[in-house]
Amino acid sequence: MIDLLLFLVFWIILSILGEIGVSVWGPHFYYYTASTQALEGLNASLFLFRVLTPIFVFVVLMIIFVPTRFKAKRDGSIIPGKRARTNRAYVGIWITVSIVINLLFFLHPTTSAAEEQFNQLQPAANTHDLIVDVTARQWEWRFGYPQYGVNAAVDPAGNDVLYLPVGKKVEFVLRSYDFNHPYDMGLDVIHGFWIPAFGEKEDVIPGETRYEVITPNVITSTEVNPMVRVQCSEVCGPGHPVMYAAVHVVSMKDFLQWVHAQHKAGN
Amino acid sequence: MATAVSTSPEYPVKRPMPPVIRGLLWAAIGFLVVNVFISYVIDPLKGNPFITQPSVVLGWTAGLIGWLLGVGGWEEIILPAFGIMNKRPVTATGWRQYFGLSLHHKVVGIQYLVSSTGGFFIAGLAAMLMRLELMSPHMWLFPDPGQYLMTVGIHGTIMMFSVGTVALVGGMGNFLIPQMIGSNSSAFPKISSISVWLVPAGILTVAFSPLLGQWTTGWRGYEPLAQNDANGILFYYLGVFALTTSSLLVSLNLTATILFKRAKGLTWNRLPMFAWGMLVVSLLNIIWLPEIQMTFVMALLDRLVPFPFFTAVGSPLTYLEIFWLFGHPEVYIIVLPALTIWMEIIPVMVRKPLFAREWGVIGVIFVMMLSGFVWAHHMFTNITLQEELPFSFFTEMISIPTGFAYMVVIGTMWRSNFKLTVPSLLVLMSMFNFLIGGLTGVFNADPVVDLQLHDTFWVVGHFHFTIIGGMVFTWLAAMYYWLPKFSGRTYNSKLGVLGAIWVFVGFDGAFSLMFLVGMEGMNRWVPIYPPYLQPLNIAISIFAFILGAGFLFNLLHIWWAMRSGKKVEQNPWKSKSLEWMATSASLDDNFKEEPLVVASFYEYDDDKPAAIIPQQEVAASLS
Amino acid sequence: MELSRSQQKVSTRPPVERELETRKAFGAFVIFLFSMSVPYFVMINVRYIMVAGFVPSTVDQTTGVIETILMVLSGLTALAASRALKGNNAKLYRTNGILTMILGGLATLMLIWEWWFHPFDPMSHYGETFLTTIGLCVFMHLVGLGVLMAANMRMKRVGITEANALGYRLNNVFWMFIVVTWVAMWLQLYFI
Ligand code: HEM
Ligand SMILES: [Cu+2]
Ligand SMILES: [Cu+2]
Repeated sequence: MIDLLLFLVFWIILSILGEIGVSVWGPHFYYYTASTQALEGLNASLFLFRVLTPIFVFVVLMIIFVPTRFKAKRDGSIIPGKRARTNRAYVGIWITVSIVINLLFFLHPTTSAAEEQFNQLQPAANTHDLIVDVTARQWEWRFGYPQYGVNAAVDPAGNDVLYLPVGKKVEFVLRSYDFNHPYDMGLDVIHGFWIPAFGEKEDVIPGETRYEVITPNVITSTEVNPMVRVQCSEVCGPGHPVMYAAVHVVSMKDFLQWVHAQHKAGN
Repeated sequence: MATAVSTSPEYPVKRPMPPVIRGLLWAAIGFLVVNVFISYVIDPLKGNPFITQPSVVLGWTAGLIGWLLGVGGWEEIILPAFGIMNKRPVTATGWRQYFGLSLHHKVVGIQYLVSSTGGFFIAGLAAMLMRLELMSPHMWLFPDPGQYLMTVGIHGTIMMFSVGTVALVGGMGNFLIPQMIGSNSSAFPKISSISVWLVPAGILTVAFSPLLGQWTTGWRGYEPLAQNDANGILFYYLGVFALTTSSLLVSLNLTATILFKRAKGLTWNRLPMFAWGMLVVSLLNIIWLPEIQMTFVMALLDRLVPFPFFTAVGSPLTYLEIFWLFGHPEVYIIVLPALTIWMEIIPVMVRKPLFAREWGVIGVIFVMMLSGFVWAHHMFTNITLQEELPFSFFTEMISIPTGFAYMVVIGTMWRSNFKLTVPSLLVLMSMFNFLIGGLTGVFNADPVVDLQLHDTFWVVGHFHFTIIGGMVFTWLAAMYYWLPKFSGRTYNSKLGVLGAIWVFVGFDGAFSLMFLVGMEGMNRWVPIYPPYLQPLNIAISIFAFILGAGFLFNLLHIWWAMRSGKKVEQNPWKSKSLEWMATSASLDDNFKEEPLVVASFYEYDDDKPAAIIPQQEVAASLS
Repeated sequence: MELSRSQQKVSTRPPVERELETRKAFGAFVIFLFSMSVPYFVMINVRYIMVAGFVPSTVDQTTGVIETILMVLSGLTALAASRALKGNNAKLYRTNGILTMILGGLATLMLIWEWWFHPFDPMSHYGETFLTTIGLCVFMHLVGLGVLMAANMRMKRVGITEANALGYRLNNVFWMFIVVTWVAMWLQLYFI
């Protein structure tokens, strides 16, 4: 009994300390976020951290508690109490708790977040979104703004670049084909469209058109934080590591100005 | 399809050549003849180039057959199958037994362990090179990114198919299972005797794949990228084919052994936990290995013919789908034996009956069954939302039966007489590391979060925690625990503890930092990365080198202990399991008489033996 | 399948135990066959993913029917050979074995023929699952013929003993397995 009490006390104290740790450090889990979707992911993971902390503490404490407290005193067998071979209460609690926690995780955050994503992808909700055509090829990203007549946005140095207005929902249309070899349209590989600060990535698959919805919520850019960059996340050949592009999240006004400049440059 | 007749010693001892040398020779001949035939006679280009895709594939196949026949398959399998008995060489003795076909399950187990260890250090060397490269954000060690990616692929492929899938099954399984169930041999000793020779062939094929050109796909060999790669990818398919065939054959043998070769009284209720582990793993292998082999054959045809199965004009995602259909069961193939080894070692070390044993069994069986329903969690970034939910559900659910392993072990340890030894320390470390692997997996199971984590170093950290943390640490624990079975000697405790702490520090340091670097925006498969990630990468690399040296240290220590460690009695741990009643450190029959099992092996609350061996002093084996 | 040790023991054991050992070995062989059926399932699966129920118009139904008839007949002769073992009739076993090889060999030749002349378009996403499945069958048929051949020559050289009877039987069971898989593949490739 005393063992159990001691263990429980340790467990509770350490779990509380752990939860405090989660509160302090948890919000920095994603390092840097620049979209509402990243915040959703962060919140979901914070929830997971909260629930998992006592479990983690329980097992780790056991791993340390047992060898220190129940050190072998003599060599040979012991005759333990009656319940040594099984213990209904312990097994019952363990199984119930693990089922409940997993069902909980499935309801929240898994399903609740999925519902949110469903809503964001609803065509009706997307009528006024900014549409960005994202095309991946080996090894380059290209960004087009069909609503603004920009085919391939580039910066003055001629590099592909992604500009987004802050606070506006963006629908990325993801396709993979080689735009430099239109006769060879079919042939490219899978790439991964990832902007780390936006907290989401989607694969870009040849022969398929896929969508990703993001709402940037901070004015920022690759120069401000390198996590704001487009990075190919699915291996696509030797050029994979260098398949990135700069990103700028700017105010609507600056965005329109930038579009104007792109027009002037004939992109 | 051989039916052997007993060897008569009268046949003249005529050994033309050591089997391995002859195997190499026959392999070379097979390769050259077929390659020349294809590229000079059939190919309209008449040998220019000398090596073409079809010629190398068929040549390799002929070479592999030559190798298998040369190491002894010719006399042991082919000739008897045709009814020709008299060419069989006399069974080798002494160290020679380890360099040829052997029908002894212990020899085969050791051959598997040695090959696996070789694979581990070859692939480990590749890992060290990768970590060296990653100390700088620019290319400096490798000439170009493709070389680096190929190294990643070789590392992953050899680790998965020659270590993860092999060490505990082909190695420990072959070595231990017959002893554990009271038999003198496996059910089909010839199968394992030949299958073990596929492992070195497979490892070398993958390791030498750069000879045919760069491949950049990583261990998944994934399409459509594989179509763009140079011919090195062919050796990936072929090498993996050899390695998976080996595991498949072992699994058939182990299943039959466990089902049909148990001693009297060894009922299902008394079956050792490790045997349960081997049984479920073998069933997974029997189902999923032929599946991935067929997939690889199709991928190979995609290139050779070419067919458009998995290219952009075919169905590019189908490859990944059928790959992961195998790939997820594969990770349980790696870890389930480890979980059951915990349940073998802990009751002995804590002198308490295995707690809630039936739940441990239920756990591994349910993991086995659910493992076929979770594969698309590797593809959250390329499937639709509707498809995500069921896979997310099953992935979250599979943690329940996996957790039973913890429930059983913790229940066993609670209020016990815990003896901290090198094996039990390593089991505790393994439990800690696999816990981290499992809990980080919960984040991956949740699609919103996984969309951020997928394909970053977070995932690299996660799966190394499950594989190294779960399987490699347990492999070490098993080596130390069963060391007396190999050589009748034991390790040095101080060096063992040092080795355990050494790999623990190196491992946890390196791979826990990988979680952070992944969250900070480092994706996988990149030898070039933004400079802000460099400090963490340097730290990871330093820990990784510590880890690499730690593995080497443990290898040397185990090697030393086997040769000149302290001699110990037959049953140094005072275990009740059958394998400790069998002969140790010799290749005699395990049991002179078939043992009779009379109780569960895990009842440490009394001193009664769990099995009786007729005409043998039972007391001697227990005390 | 290798059965040497258990088999050697068998011959010294009473019939009941021998029967048991035989059943066990047979059980293990069934597990092996199960494993060997997985590639066929993969091909069925891939076919459905890629082309659903598409049957190429160039597929010649007559050839398919003849192949299947030959295969089924060879399955029957294999069964007869298996039966011959019970009566320790080595000669009958071999005659039936040779018949099986002739029938099965003819069917395999027709398969190869069909495979070779099937129109092939490296860009078509329809024809090639047909080709691959037939290729898989051809490969397995060749292995099966090799196994039959080995059994036949072994019978000629060694004859039936108590210890090796099961080996002969399993060789034929393997051929019957191939017949069954062919019939299944024929149904799915030519009709469904
Ligand atoms: C010796 C210590 C080890 C170190 C330092 C290490 C390090 C690494 C690194 C740096 C990567 C590349 C990650 C990337 O860029 O995507 C990697 C990948 C991988 N490792 Fe290890 N590893 C070790 C041991 C193992 C073991 C024991 C296994 C399995 C038994 C394993 C399996 C894999 C696999 C499957 C991959 C993925 C390869 C791919 O992306 O295709 N590693 N490892
Ligand atoms: Cu890429
Ligand atoms: Cu998985």
